This record gives sequence, C-alpha cells and structure tokens, in this order.
Amino acid sequence: MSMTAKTNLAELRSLIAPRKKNVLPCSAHASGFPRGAVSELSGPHGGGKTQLALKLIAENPRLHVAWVESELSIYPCALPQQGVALGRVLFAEAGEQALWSAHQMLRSGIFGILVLSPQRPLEQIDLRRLQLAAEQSNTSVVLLSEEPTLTGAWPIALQLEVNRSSIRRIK
Amino acid sequence: MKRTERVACLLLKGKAVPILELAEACHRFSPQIAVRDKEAVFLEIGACRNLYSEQSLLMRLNVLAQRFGCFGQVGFADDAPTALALARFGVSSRDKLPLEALYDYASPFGHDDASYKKVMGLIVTMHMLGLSHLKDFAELPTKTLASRFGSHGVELSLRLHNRAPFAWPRFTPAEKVSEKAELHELSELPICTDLEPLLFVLKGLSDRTMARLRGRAQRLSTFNLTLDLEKGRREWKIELPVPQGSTAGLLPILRDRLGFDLQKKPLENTIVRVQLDVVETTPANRSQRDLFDEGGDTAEAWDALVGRLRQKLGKDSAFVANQVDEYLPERAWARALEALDRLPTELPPRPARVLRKPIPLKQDGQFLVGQKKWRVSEWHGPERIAVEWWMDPELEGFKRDYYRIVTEAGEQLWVYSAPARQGYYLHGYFD
Repeated sequence: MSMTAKTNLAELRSLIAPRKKNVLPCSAHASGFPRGAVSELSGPHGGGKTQLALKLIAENPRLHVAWVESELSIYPCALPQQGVALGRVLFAEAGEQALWSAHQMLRSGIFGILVLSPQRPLEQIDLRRLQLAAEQSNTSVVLLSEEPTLTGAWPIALQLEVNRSSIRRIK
Repeated sequence: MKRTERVACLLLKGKAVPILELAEACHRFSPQIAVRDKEAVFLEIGACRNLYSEQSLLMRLNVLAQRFGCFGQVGFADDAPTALALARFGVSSRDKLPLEALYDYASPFGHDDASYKKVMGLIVTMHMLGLSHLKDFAELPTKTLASRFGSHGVELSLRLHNRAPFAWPRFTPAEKVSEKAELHELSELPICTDLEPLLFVLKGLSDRTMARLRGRAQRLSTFNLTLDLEKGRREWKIELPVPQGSTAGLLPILRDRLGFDLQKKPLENTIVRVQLDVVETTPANRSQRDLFDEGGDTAEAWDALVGRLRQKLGKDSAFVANQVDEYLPERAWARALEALDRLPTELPPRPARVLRKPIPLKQDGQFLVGQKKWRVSEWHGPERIAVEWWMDPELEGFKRDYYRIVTEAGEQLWVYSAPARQGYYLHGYFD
C-alpha cells in the first residue's frame, strides 16, 4: 500500500470515528451540561434542582455517577422513580471531607457525572481545583447549592438558577 | 467437536525461581497447569483461544515473570514437549530444533536421570549417522527406527509425532498465600527505616500476592503484615473495608494506615524482613477478563475507590443504595457494597430529599411555619403509611398521612400529620 493511500485511510478513519461529545444532553436544559467542567444548580429547597440533576443522570444512562454530600439528605427511593438505576450511583456521605472525596472519585476515572452538595459555599481555589480535576477526568461536575456560589465565578462553566416555574441561566 | 490441544510453556531462568507461586498466578489464564521442577510452567490454552491471543498471553506471562523477580522464554506448540523445547532453544518451529531437544520429549514434566542418559546415548548415535536436527530424525522411516535405535527410539518418534501423549501431572497450589522480602545489604531492595522505601517493598509483595489471589479467583479481605526489625518486630492485622483485587486498591490503604501508625510510633531500627500473610479472602468479581469489555477494570477501580473512601470516612460512608421492603420511609433503603439485581419497588412519588429528623410545623391559616413561612397553594394526598403494632414491634404501630404541598412560590414539600401527635411535620422536599 502506498504512503498516500495509507494517509488517506488514516484521514478517513479519523473522519468516521465516533467523536467524544463534550456536552451531556438534558431535555430540561437544551444546551446540555458540559463535560470536563463544573456546573452549578442553585435554588431554594423544594425548587427542583435535585430533580434537574436526576433528569441529567437519567438521560445519560451509560455513565456511572458519584453523589457526594456532606450530610446525606438525598432519598435513594426517589431515584428509580426518576429513571435512575441505583446500581450505577456511588453515594458518599463525607462530612468535612466532601471535597477530598470528590477528588478521589474524579481521579478514579470511573464516573461521567459527579454531583456535589457541599456543606458551605466553596472557595475560589477549591472550585479551580475541582474544575481541573473534572477536566482531567472529562467528568461533568454538578454543584447543588441554595444560593449561587459566586456569581460569575470563572471556574464554573454553567450556572443555573432553578425553580419550579423556570430555569434561569446566570452564566 | 474435538478440542485442539495448544500448550504455552514458560521456561524460567535464574536460580531461586518461585515456580509454584508463579504457576498459581498462571491459573488466571488457564485452569490446566503443570509444573516442571524449578524450571517451567505449562498452560493448556486450547480452550482459551477466544479469550486472548497467543501474542497477548506472551506479554502477560513476561510481565508476570518480572513481577516474581525472574525472566523467561515462552514457547507455544500443540503439545507440551514441543512447547518446552521451543522455549528452551528459542526457535520458532519444531523443524529448527536440534537433536538435544529429544530429551524434552523423553521427560517433559520432570528431570529423569535414567532417560536423560538413554537419550544422550541415542543423540551420539544419531550424530554419527549424520543427523543434526529433530527434523532429520522425524523424517526417518518408522520401520527402520527399532533396528537403528531400539524401543526407546521408537517411543521418542511416537512422541515427536504426538502419538503418545503424556498425562499432565496435577498441580496443587500452596494452602496459604504468604509473600516475604528479605532486606539486607546484598539485596536489591532499599534499606527501610521509614514509610516511603517500605511502600516500595510492599508494592512488590502486594503485586505477587494479588497475582496469586487472582489465580485463585479471590480478592484480599484480611491480612497480616509483619516487619522484622534488627531488634524487635511490628505486626498489623489489617481488615480491608472493601475486599481488594489489585495493588492499586491496596497500596493507598496501606499508605494511610501505616503512615498514621508510623507517625505515632516510628520504627526503632532498620527492617530486615517484610512478610505479608493472607488471612481471609472473598470471591473475585470475575476470574477471567473479557477483553472486549472494560467492566472488569471498572469493578476493580470501583472497589479500590470504595475501600479508600471507607478507610478515610468510616464504614458505610461510601455505598450503593438498595431499596428495602419497609413501610417507614426512612427505612425503605439500605446501604450496601453492591447493588441488588431487583426491580424497583412500586411506590407513590417520593421526594428527592428526606430530612433525617422531621421538623414540626405550625399551621397558621394558609401558612405553614417552620424554619421558613410557606404560603400553601395546593395540597395533594393524603397517602397513609401505617404499621400495626404486631407487624413491626419496634415501631409500636404508627400512622402517618403524607401530603405533597405546593407553596405559592412553587416549592414542593413532603409533609405528614400523625394522628397520635398534633400538627404537621416537614419530612422532605421534592427538590
């Protein structure tokens, strides 16, 4: 086989090879959630932010999910009702070690989505570290909080304010 | 359909070769293993062709041999003597083998002085007749063999043509899995006085232990670690939070555990020997890997991660959740290491968040007052959850009427009223 034919074949292969999508689809948010980046869902208790995160997980059924909370309040019985199989979610009740746990989970390279609900708003440096770890593992990190952590904080790629009537994009 | 025999032979070089341990680790690739004293391991791989290629087995065997501190040659053939001879003489086909390879045909699974002498005698005769390769001997007419070389020559010819196959001797691995490393001035291993060089030594021990356990389709769950010092000894019995099947999972746990202990009580003097004894094991996720499925790797990484998280955060802090058939909503799920393969329980809609302790609410007209004042616009329900006292004595019988409440701002709360107690309680959020 000539060199030209080989090159053309390689080009052809690269063209037809399936490409890794950098966005996770979610019907509730048309532009999806970025992979390898940090997104934040904020809103009051009962406003629907956890349901939005569950919708994202349900619509990406091939990905393993890590769910880290300082104090666990997620109710696992609600997950199958939202279309999420319990077997693909690893929960961690991490107390003060929520960030450490999140980093361990990202480093393992197993998870496509990591949901983090920290006890208090994260510092800028913690967010930056989280963003770097998410980028390295190509994981979509979803932060859940009552108030937006830092409006316009640069390590966060997507910030959504969620309530029952609307999903407002802050960033 | 008749299965074709195919044999891989790993011929090891070196003096103190841990052949039995290596053979045990080879069980991972094939259930039929045989050992030639201190020299070679045979693997029957005829039935494993769909699992891995010979090329990938060659690489894996080389890595495994290195892990046990030795190196060797691998030969593949349709019978054990040819595989051994190919590995010994480093040639690719039987036709290129010298006459000296006949000895491997006479006694492939062990050294036998009597047959060695006989074969050597035959080889001298063959050289005198102008034969130099095994191919020359194989091409001689069968009828002439008895008159030229006697019964032994005929027997060798039959084996050469794979018409008199050998029964494979049984290989039984050692009862206990134990690995040790001697650390002295002549050893290649580092002098250990603190954690980092010790971890280097432990990695080697762990690699070998895990390889042997994989051969047994087991994972490590409890082990003893002994450090013999110049004066004295330190011992640990380590129960892993999650059974581990790889060094990648074990080493971070060892680092945390030993790091903490050695910081509290440093080593008094140099370590002379490190020993790792397996006390308890559990069955592995999968004994042989599917090359087209990454599931095996993910399961190992998952176990390693859960083990590390549990070591640091405490037992049951990292888990998968399983639904349980219980009436009380807080008890309707349980923490576990593995998900149960069962259909989800049919329940009315459940909130995504449930409070650990329900919060009492005061009703004030259209308002419910707790940590916050909510103006209620819709009530949905009730859903009665009740347990009679004889159904679960612990609960002493309870009745709760659950409502899904939609507030004016759109928040959805999970609230219950208990006839036994006055008022409403906030139990969760449809968050």
